[in-house]
Amino acid sequence: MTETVEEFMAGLGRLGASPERRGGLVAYVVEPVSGRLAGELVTTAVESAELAAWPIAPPHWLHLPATITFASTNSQPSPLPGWLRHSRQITGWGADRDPAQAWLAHVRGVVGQAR
Amino acid sequence: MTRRASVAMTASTERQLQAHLLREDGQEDICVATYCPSTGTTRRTALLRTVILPEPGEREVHGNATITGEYVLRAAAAAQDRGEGLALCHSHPGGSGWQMMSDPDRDAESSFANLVRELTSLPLVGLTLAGHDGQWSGRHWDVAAGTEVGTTDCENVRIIGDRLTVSWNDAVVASPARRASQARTVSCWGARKQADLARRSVLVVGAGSVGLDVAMRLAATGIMTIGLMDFDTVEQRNLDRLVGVTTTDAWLRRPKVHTARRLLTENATAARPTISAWEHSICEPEGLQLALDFDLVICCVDRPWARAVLNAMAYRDLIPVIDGGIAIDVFPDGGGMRGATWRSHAIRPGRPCMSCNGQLDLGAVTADREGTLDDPAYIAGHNSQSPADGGQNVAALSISVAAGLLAQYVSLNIAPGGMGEPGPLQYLLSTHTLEHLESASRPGCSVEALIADGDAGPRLTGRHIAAENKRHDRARAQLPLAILAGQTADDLVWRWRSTLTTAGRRALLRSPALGRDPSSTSR
Repeated sequence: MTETVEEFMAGLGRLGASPERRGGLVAYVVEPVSGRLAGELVTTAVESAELAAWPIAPPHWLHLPATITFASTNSQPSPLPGWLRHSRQITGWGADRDPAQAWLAHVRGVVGQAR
Repeated sequence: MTRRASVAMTASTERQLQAHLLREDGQEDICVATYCPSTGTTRRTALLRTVILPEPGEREVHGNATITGEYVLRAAAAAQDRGEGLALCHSHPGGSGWQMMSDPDRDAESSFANLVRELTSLPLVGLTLAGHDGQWSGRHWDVAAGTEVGTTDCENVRIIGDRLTVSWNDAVVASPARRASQARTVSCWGARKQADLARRSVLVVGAGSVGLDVAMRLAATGIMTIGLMDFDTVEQRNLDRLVGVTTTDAWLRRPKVHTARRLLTENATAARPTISAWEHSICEPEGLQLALDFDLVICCVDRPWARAVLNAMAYRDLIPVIDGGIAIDVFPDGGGMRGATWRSHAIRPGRPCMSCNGQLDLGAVTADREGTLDDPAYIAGHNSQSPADGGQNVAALSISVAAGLLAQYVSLNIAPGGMGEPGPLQYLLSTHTLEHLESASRPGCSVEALIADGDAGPRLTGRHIAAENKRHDRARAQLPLAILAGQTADDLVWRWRSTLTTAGRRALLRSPALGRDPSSTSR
């Protein structure tokens, strides 16, 4: 699994998302292009365990600070204090040549919907 | 422990090798290729990857063919760089069938065996192409004998294209005798095809309504080695679809594969069928490793994780997977059925993977892997239904899915009229229309990029909590005394029936030989 986590981090690093390990998670930044947080750098994270099949299968849960809320979401506590993890299933996975780019586009889209 | 050996390659790799090895002047030729190992529980397969042709001066053709040490060193260095092994391939232009090693062949291969192993850390693989009928034969130089190296003869060499072509080593897997109980089957495609088909081992993953039907018909067809894999337990709610499974099986909490194995054992027409049943998930490392022992897998499961594991295996380990499923469309108010659709397709190099053809949502794999899709808290928050509980199905239609899978199986293995598997098919019930579906591989597909990676490729397997829980629930210590007593009684009845079945088989072996069956009209 270490290899797949490193591959994920390398892909995000190449795109300037500044990935870093935080316990059992990989945190990185995204800049949404729409919504309340448009233009801000938002730190988000995924669990390393969810990267076991990267890039064939993407992570499911998006970890975000609890201050970021959504009109409708299925959320659970995150291992990061003061954070929640949100259920977001990505559709059409595997269509892009660069999975890291596809992942960041997905996360930007989700964060762009924050209230 | 891996003791069996095999070689597999794609049809395009075979075409490259044929173009070099089968010369117009009728002389022998020789070249090398790299391979990756694919290690099952009992079988090790060399998956050919890259053909490395000789440069001028690196081989000499003089009736026979010889190569220089420099050529082998160049190729071994290339293989070493990629973490791959080396296969030495040569032709016998006038040969047919499985080729025995001549003394010069043995000397040539053995002279490189130690060197190649030292450079690549993998055994040399030898391959011979018989020019007369295109049959391959192979061996792994993996037996240490003092300072010398000996061979493990392959049981088969498999070519994966629009049809699965298999060359058999009769000395390792004997050709089955013709049987009166298979007379109608043999009359369809002939004794030679039957002897080939019967030896092709098949793993059926999922012993539900579709998997059970598929497996039963493979056993009736005379397939000698059938594996069944499912971790689930027979429950009352399954009884409207598991034909042949009884209320007793549900009461006694039998594993689905246990009841399926009994049914197959009673209905098999092979003389000595090997029917194995494993209470694993294909998502568990042990489950996938067992699958790597088979020539072909039929996928009869609908969970995304399991299908993703098989989807990757089809490319990474060159084991074709026949897959399909059914969707029944009902009116949301519970007022009836709008229609149904069932699909079938062969997943293999040269065809789009399950994700590219729209039949697998890779975005759902991680959630399924973590058990999220069955987590009550997640289900409540998502306002959805557990996949284990959901999905309409009915025995009257699930047989159509099984029929679709089996038709793909016949096309892939027998190629009626010279036509291999047809690509993805879809049947629409409401209009009774059969459609050939157009689908293409996506350029960024990370699954189809795994072709012949074998052990070096990602496995996608892991701990499967639901499978562990099911097995735990069935453990004897968990069961009430009444069920344990019932199981003991049921086992005694089964032993009696098995004895009767064996006696019947022996008696029928003395019945009139194949070809003297007086009836000739199909019904």
